[in-house]
Amino acid sequence: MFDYSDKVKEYFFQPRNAGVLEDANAVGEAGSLAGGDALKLMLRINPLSEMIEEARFLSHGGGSMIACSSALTELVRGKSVDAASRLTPADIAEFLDGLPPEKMHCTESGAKALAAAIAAFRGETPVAPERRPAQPALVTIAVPPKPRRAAPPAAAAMAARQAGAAPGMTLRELIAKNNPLAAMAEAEETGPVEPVSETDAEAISRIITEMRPVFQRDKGDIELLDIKGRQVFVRLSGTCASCMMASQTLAGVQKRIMETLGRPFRLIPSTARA
Amino acid sequence: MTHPAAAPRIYLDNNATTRVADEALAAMWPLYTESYGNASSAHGFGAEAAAGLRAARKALAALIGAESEAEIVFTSGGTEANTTAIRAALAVQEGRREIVTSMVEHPAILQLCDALEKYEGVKVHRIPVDGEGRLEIDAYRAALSDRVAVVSLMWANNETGVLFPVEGLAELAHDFGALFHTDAVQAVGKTPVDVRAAGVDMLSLSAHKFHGPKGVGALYLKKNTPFQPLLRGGKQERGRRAGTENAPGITGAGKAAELAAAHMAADVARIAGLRDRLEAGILEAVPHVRVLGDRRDRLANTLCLAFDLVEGEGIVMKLDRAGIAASTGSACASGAVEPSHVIRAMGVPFTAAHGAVRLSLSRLTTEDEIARVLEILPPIVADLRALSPFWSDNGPNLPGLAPASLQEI
Repeated sequence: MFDYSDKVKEYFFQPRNAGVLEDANAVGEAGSLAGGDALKLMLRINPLSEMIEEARFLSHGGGSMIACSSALTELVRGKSVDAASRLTPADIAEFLDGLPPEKMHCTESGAKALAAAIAAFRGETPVAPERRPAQPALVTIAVPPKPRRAAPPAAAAMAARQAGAAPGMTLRELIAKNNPLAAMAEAEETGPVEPVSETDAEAISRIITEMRPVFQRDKGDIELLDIKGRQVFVRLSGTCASCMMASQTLAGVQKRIMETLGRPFRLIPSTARA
Repeated sequence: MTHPAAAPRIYLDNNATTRVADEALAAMWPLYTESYGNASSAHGFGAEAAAGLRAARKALAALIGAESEAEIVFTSGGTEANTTAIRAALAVQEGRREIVTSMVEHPAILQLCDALEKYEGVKVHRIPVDGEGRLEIDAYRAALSDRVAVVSLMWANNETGVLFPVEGLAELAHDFGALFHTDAVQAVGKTPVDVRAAGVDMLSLSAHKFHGPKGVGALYLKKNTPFQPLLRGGKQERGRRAGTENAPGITGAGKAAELAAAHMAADVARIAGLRDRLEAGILEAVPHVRVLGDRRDRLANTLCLAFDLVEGEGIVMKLDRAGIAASTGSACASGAVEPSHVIRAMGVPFTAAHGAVRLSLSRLTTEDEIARVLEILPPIVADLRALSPFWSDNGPNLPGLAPASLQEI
């Protein structure tokens, strides 16, 4: 076993501030189950004073991960958001009287979760999808002369029916049907069009529609926002917006899209915020 | 932090090492204080040390069913025995430059094979295992050829206790003229081992796994097996392993071997009973836990569990604090803690791979100890799960994760 400091052991065996913070208004996550370490940091920040009034955590990992998570909550409680945002992984390690080198990544997870929580509070997207201001939204669908691999007509028609599309519907109309808000929000954007075939768009829409129950089961949702070339923009909402497992599910959606259409696509999530 | 002094500690990490038997320690003592001569010396002190070696050689030969005591070469432990066997097999068969081994061998074999592959141009076939840790026999057959110098497959796995069918595996190797070595470090003293029935050419063993001292092992080298020493120098071990013998340690190993042979039949049955009770109790008290390794064919003393959605290290730390010694199925690899190569080779789902804990018993384990572990372990798992973002009151909290990766046991 690792040679942990007494402070690490203390914070592992009697973690402070463990559990769900029901009235959190800033949540940040880091790590993954597959990686063996994960942290969900929940903060209640006073919106006027920007003071962190309460901090709690849920943590999956070994002794050092749980100790780092707990130490982090102790470090940020009572601090201003500004002061907290200056905390570094080294501060967490110092608070715990050091960590074995193999375990230093736990402090980085702590700092990442904190940065994500602060970003969430400030209304920033912590892991921003590629934002290219010049890149416009899709306005009309241009069907390329020869799609490299289109679904057979019968299959395409079936896919379109399943997605609730009427024959001849454009992507814009399809999105508007499934998600009127998204279509309205982006209706004003204009610019050159990167074409995507109608059948492809229908297939993508169908896949996302089919996958919705998976997200809804956990009181979340996924909506198709747009398709630009090989980028598929979706909106995550509800609990999925802050769930660290969502990225895994999204990877599954992306994989299905790529397998169905036979070429690479990137699924880019944006998170709905109140 | 110190252990609460209230209850005596419970040692369930016997696959890592064991307590030295009192009788073994007693046998060693005079070789430090009275009969401390060099076994090669021509005086009474040396003769007494040499007598200790002879007795030990006899006891070890008997424990593994060797035909002759001359087939036992003492080493500093299992790692040296393994290295000696593999290197000798390559050195004596110049035309054969391939090794067949498995993906779940001990690092003493795997790291050696990696180095031979990287620096000495040896081709290594690493045979996979199935989800229960059993060797993929078809892949094994396919890897064999007359280019193979040596097959090295473990008798029992140190993490899961899974037993490989050594006898049949050796026969297949011999069909292609390859030598057969088995790393039996976890098997010798814990389960009946008969080198002649199994038809192995070389076998590695280690005394500290069966209540002998650390730093003592042996290589069984079947008579007439071509050989080259790893360590050259003095004439010890008939020129097969140079260096002054660790006479006290070897004497202790011999005593431990005698005890293991004498207690084997009764011990294995009793230990298996305790292990099965422990296993059943944990499966009953803890949801979402799976037993790793083939339950029908494994060491009687080993229980390897994978707890879904909890990290093994946390469990082991909390057990340690409660006075219970166990070990995780994780190893530290390149700055991060990863599930062990054995757990990865078995394809354990990632939801459980980090939650592997090994409990390994010995003949010193008691019923009361098992009962206490059954009181202490389930709440530890529940406490850690309560801290996890992936766990809710009702069980795993994994939105969107395919149910296949979280099979109910």
